[in-house]
Amino acid sequence: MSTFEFLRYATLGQYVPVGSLVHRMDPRFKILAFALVVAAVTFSGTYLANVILLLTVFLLVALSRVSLGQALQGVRPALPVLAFLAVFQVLLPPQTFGGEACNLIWQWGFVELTDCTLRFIVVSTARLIELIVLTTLLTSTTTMAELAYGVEGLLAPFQRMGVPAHEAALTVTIALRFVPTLALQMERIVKAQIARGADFGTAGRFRFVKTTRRLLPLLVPLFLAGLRRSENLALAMEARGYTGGKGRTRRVKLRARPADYLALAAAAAFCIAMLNVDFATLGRALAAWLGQF
Amino acid sequence: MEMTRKANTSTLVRRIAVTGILVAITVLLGTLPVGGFIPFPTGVNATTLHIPAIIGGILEGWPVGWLIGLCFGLFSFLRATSPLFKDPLVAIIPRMFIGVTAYLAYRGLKRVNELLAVGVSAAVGTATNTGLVLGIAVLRGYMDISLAATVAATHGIPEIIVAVVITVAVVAAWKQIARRSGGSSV
Amino acid sequence: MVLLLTEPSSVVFFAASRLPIPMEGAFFMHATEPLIEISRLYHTYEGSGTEPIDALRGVSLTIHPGEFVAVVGTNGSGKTTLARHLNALLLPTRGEVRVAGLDTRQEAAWPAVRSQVAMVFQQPEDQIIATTVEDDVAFGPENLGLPADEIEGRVRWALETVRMWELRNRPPHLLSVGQQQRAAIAGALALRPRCLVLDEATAMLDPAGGREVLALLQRLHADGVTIVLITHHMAEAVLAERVIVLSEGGVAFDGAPRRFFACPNHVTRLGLELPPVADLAARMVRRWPDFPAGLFDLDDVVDALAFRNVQIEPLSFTDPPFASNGRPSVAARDLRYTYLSGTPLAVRALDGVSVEVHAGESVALLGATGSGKSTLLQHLAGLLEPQDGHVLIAGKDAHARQTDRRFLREQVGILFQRPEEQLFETYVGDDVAFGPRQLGLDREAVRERVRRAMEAVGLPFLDYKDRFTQSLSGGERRKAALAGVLALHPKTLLLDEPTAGLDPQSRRDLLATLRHLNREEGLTLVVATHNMDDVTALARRVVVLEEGRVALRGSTRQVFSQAERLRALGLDVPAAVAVMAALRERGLPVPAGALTLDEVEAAIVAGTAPLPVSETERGDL
Repeated sequence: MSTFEFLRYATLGQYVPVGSLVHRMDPRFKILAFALVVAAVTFSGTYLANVILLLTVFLLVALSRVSLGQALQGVRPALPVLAFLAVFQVLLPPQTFGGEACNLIWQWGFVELTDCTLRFIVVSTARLIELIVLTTLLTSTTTMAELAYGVEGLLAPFQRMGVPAHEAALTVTIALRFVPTLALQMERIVKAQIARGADFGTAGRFRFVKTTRRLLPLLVPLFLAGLRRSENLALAMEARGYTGGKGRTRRVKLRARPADYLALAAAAAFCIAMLNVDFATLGRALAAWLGQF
Repeated sequence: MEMTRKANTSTLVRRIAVTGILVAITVLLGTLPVGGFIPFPTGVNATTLHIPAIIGGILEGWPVGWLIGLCFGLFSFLRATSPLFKDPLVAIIPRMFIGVTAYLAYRGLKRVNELLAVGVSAAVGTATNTGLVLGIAVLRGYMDISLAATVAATHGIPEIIVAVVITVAVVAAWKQIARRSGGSSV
Repeated sequence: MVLLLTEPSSVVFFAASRLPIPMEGAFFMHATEPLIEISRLYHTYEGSGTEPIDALRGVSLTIHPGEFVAVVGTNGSGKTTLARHLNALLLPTRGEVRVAGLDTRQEAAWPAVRSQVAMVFQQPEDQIIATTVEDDVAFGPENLGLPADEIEGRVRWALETVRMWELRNRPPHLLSVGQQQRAAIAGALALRPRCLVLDEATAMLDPAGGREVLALLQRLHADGVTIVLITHHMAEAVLAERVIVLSEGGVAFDGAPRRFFACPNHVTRLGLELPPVADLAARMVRRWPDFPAGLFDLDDVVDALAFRNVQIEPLSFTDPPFASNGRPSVAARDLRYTYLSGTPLAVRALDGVSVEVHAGESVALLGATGSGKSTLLQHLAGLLEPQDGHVLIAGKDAHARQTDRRFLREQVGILFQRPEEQLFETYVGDDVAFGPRQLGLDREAVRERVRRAMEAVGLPFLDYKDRFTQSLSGGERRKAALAGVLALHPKTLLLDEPTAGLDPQSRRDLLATLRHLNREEGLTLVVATHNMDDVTALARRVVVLEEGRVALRGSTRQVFSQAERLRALGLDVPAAVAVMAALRERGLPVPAGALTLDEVEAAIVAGTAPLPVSETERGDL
């Protein structure tokens, strides 16, 4: 590790201040809309549904004025995993999903590929890409501060029921704020320990304890430093009069605009549609219709 | 500074600070090229990302453990590159229990022997993580029972060992828990 | 004008006891109600041992609005404990603390107390909770439940007062330490407190940063804010109107700084240092008993010297030439290095640096923040690989494939900034033993190395090896970290800001250890530092960096005689050198090249024939 530079890694999901419609959304609504679309993706298991979802996702990318390259950046590390999983699935004995009958498509030796398996592989891949791109979109169009405000705003109505909205949001803020700082500290610790002769490699096939112990000079100081900082932090928070969310005001007031409500409504409608339409039948009908040509 | 431990800071403020920092460490372990998992030559990578939730549960109680676990789950979901963990039910739900079970185990055994309590608590928290993640994976159809059992054995056991070693080292140093020998080994 | 002061009477000084202490303040009429009243305050807590610790024993004092008070004392004297009672972060075990009439033991009073007495702590980074400066400064007013535009107004005012408004959207990790501390001060100011308490707030800052903060405090004081400054630096205490000296939990002095520093014996007996001018005056008094005592201002000292017709001998100060024996221990040839190259945050840290250090030398690396000192040190240690140029350790290229990493480690050791961060074992002995164990030594050898290393740094082996690392004080932890590196028996030791943030006693211990290791045991030293007095104590040679290039190099004396040049490079000169430059400006022919007050004193003494002491004068003494 002759170039350390941990700070490179510590920036989560590069915020790109492009100023698109999506950027300007009220973060509360953005997070909710995101969650709704994610739900739609999570529960869609058919070809047709995923085609629609993929198109929708790329439409959102265009709306956010984020470059396609950046949006797909997160997908690259996933490709080897996907390839491996595809092969893995094929090698497994055929499984039924949802109890329907599966037809054999292809066979080579003992390897059998059913249409169910094929669909599973394709759909999984599509879903993964959709989710990765959606996540990248969220982090590219929202600053960390906005995320914290959004989380707090969403939880605020539940304050009456005892949900600590501001406290949770403050926790998120603190976490986001300290990631780069702790990354820099981690770098110093790693360098200091290497200079003392620490070796972070493996100790042998089954020497679990010994291998783990080699990482202690790295991990223990990180936790200890973090805990010490949290004590100082608590003092500073008390000194500035923090007593919990009650009675607090905020410098920035989130104001939802009609466009935000519209976007949320669209996301909700989309989600409901995706979850209720019988894409299986629709897909078959479409395939039959296309088969005419 | 020893000063701060006796300071008049409220439990709430302390817990918010600890939770924030431990979540930051979770994120860090998941993003940096080092520390997030311990590679064993058998090809198994024992992750360490659940350890902050365990430590939070031991040091500050179940609400802190729960929240760190939830954030761990969210983070795991957001940056996952495999379909298994891109499923929020697999990534998020099980993680909420890591800190809680760890806390319960620690509280239960604390009176017997503190170091033992910490170790068992780390094991319980890890087992909760492995067990619930694999359990929901099976329920959602990502794998069948036999595969899940194999993964539990090959991944789960090293992860328990890793968690116990690290958690005990951290908590013993922080809370100044004496070893049976009463001192260093030098 | 000669100030005739009698030996300060015992009226002013008392041990920490029940005797009443007349305060300067008592002699003035205060039109306003006291802001802070402390009555017979005791604070006891459980230490890590079995005995409870009495941090404060019966402290009573009053602070009125608009005062500028400095609180000084050695480590363990109770300064921080006292400070934390002022805003109810600590509660009295016995006795009472009242802020604007409110009793701090009443929980209902805490919000009011904390909005009137705001506090700034030692670690700048750990006070900033939000992701941008602006959001963080708003935290306090938000807690007060103020309306949004009021909050905006206060944030703007606070940031403009500390001169950070342009940086309001920066995340904290991209700020320098000085900027972080100013942001923290802004966060405290946004509460619009009547009193600002600073608990060693300049300890982690470089001299320039410290000066900025002090200037800010003086501006605030002029605007009517009460300032309570807890500090180790006597130069800061001197700026206050009133200094409270704590010793072993009690008040040993409470009055004007000049009265306190007029009694150097008492000052040193309480474990504190004298500011440089007072130190010089005290030396004059020791030499010539009729030299006016209690002088504080440079002008008064000059006048007194002139009155006595003091001539200063133009002694020339030189050091014996250093005999180098051939090949350098560590060398850098034309190094270039850029951080985060290829990203928008790229920073060119080294731009063609060449340095050579020979065995047994001690070299100081100076430079403003960002000049590349830390980067150069890490290259010399073989930790970073240069993007251009070579690093040679004991003659071998540090990054050539054939070079054995273990060999490198035995040649060069490095102590990073805040090395106490590297401690990870539960017990001190185990941590120091880590390095030797990694070298694969057997049990006996490890134990011996640990023992020697711990004794060398001043942590007696048997006493400290079984102590919990987390129970040690900051200074002790730093010594333990140094021991951990010394146990590797490196031939060259690189140190990055070794005394930053230490209290004066720990700093003196550390410098003495390093000096001994260099002069007596031949350990080669390369020290990067902001502290010019450290340089005088340790280094024979100095290399000054500016923006990744060598701007100045030479012997310590040569470099420090170029005060103007150094100031242009953003650096200070040692306190003694600054005093001499000031003396020179006022017409006294102080020789160039003197580095310490000892040398200045020697020059003054050498030039002045002793005045005849008459019988009557001797009788009066």
